[in-house]
Amino acid sequence: MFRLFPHPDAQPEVHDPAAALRAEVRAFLAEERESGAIRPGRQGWTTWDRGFSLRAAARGYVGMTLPPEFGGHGRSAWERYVVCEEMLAAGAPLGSHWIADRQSAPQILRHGSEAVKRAILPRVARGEITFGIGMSEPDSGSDLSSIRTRADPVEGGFRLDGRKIWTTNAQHAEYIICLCRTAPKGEDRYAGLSQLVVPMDSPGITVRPLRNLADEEELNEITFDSVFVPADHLLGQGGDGWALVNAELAFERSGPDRILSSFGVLAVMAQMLAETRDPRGIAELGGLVARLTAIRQLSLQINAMLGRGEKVGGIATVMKDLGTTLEQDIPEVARRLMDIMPALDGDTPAATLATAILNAPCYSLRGGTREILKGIIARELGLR
Amino acid sequence: MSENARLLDDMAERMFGQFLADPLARADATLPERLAEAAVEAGLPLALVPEADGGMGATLEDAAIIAWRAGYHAAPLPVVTLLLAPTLPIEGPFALAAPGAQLAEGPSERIALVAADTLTLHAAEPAVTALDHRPWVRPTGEAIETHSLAGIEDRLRMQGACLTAAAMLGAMQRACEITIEYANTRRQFGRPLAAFQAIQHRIAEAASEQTVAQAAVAGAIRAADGGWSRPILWQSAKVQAGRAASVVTATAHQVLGAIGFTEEHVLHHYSKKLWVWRDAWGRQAALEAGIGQAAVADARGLWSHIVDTEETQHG
Ligand SMILES: Cc1cc2nc3c(=O)[nH]c(=O)nc-3n(C[C@H](O)[C@H](O)[C@H](O)COP(=O)(O)OP(=O)(O)OC[C@H]3O[C@@H](n4cnc5c(N)ncnc54)[C@H](O)[C@@H]3O)c2cc1C
Repeated sequence: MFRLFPHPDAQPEVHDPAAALRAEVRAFLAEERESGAIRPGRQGWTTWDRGFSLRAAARGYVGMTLPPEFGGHGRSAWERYVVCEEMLAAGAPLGSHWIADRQSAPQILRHGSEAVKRAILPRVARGEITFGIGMSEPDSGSDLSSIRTRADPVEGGFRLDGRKIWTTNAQHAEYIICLCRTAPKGEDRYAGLSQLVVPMDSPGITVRPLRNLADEEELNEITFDSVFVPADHLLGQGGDGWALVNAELAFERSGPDRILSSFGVLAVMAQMLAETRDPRGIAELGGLVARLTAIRQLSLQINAMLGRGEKVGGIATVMKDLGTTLEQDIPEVARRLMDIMPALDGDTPAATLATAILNAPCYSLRGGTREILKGIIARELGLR
Repeated sequence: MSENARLLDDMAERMFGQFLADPLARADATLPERLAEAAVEAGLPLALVPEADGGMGATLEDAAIIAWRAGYHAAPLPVVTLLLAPTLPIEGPFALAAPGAQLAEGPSERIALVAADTLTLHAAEPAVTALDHRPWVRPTGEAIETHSLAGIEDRLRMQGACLTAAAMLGAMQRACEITIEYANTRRQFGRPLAAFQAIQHRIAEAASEQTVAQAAVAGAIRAADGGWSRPILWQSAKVQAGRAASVVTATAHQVLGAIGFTEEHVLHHYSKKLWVWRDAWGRQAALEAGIGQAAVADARGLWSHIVDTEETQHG
């Protein structure tokens, strides 16, 4: 059983409302709204906008926790959390830097070669580059051990062949971190996997965008046809890709982006209820706000643990599962409470609701499906 | 955990364990009385009393650990009253109603009611028996004592909700443990129940709700001790504890099958307590409505309402 309270070794809570930092980020976001870069309710955190990321990075909001020697700002996990949640709540387009900032850069910092760290991390912190997550394949989704993309050793590096799919923003990406087989699948199906940092301008790569339910081209299929990847672009030791992928997923699963994807709908509901004062609606809203507040506390505690370098394991999985369920519940409650016809080209409330309804199915798929998460939790509970 | 918390935790565990480890002990009608006496002897009710008044001056977190242990053992005693009553200027034993309520867990010949800044003491008479078989009492007649105490309602609402939620965490912890143990040992179709994915997922859901409840309660209690408490924190924690209680009890009963529906198994002591607590010291639905009202009334907007610490509580 997961034990957070009472916890024999609990660290004392440090209270920092971060009011000054929040005010600073909100001022930046207000400018971005003013200029039209943020279109509330019509974007998600995967929406790609390089200009926004460059401006955010210029303010120091990207690569915040990276060490200064790699171009980062050496700020705390909590400060990064504050900036992220402020941007998510505002519905900002984070797609150009989000994946690099959330998981690729920390992964490279921990497991990358010196040369790759020096070449790539400062560019992440400047908001100049987009990363893709190269895990899923046409025949391998939940069961990543079955992937077939392979990297064979060649003079000075690897030759990469295979296909990846559902790679968010790959058409814009400068790099992807690609999970591949460096040894054939044997007894232990998790052995022989490795992660490579693949420059997307390498010869032999084709990217085909796929249109999603919300009419956006964010997902892609990537084909690698004898792509050369330099040896120093390997993460870790080689063959330890399964452990690496799981470490990467811990960063992917516990953040505010797993609670706030449909926050815009909640904000619209609150505004509307402030006028109508419908008691049933207010009670429903209260239930959702309570849930959000409770799950956010879990997310904050995980963030603090990650910041201290502690292992979080199944708790991050719990957070993602319940957080994304809340993200899916919000539009369902909203459509019952509000007499709004969801329409992408409607006014802000109509578009916000439409965006949430059309994106909701993916919340419990991306980053590991609900069923897979529950399986991980059950295993940690000792059920088998 | 502080040194103080560790001591209290050990003491409470030893005391409740000693009385309740044997399931048959609960059959003895004198158990609640003996348990209450032992708690007093161990000094547990003095936890929240300031040192200047001869108490321990413990933090809310320390006191919550006592409540957690009471929950973990489904102890038949009003643990919230036990911890909060000694902080009030009334001599001798009395039942304490949650602010605004007219009923309190007994047994007791006297009942204290709280409304706004006023605390009144009344004679009590038996009212109803709660789901967990505990006797509840109600006031009869005029107030025998009246005290004016600034901020008493807000303090008791917050502390009562946090302590109740802490007791719920303890009870849910035990209920989850019981469920997991049972799923791993009971076999059907030649396999342990835990081998079935439907069972695994159901238990994972229950443990997940309990995990979120732990985080929310810990956050609310530390905010209270640290001086940055906000109603939304403790109200959400109590709401989440209530939701988790519904899921944990439903799951435990489903997984245990018929045996859990009988007195033969200890599970019911936990589920009944949880069913009482989810609507005691802050009724779940009322708290949700209150959170919603405060959210829509906040001119700063919803996001600010959720994350910003009020100006007055800065630093
Ligand atoms: C919007 C979006 C963005 C994404 N972005 C990326 C990305 O950037 N990079 C990337 O690599 N991938 C990405 N993905 C892919 C995502 O990680 C996969 O969709 C996910 O892992 C599931 O794989 P699948 O779609 O092949 O489904 P499958 O694995 O085929 O599963 C189908 C269904 O079966 C269930 N199932 C499978 N196995 C079990 C089991 N053992 N027990 C019970 N049920 C099971 C699943 O839960 C699911 O409900 C993205 C997906 C979406 C929707």
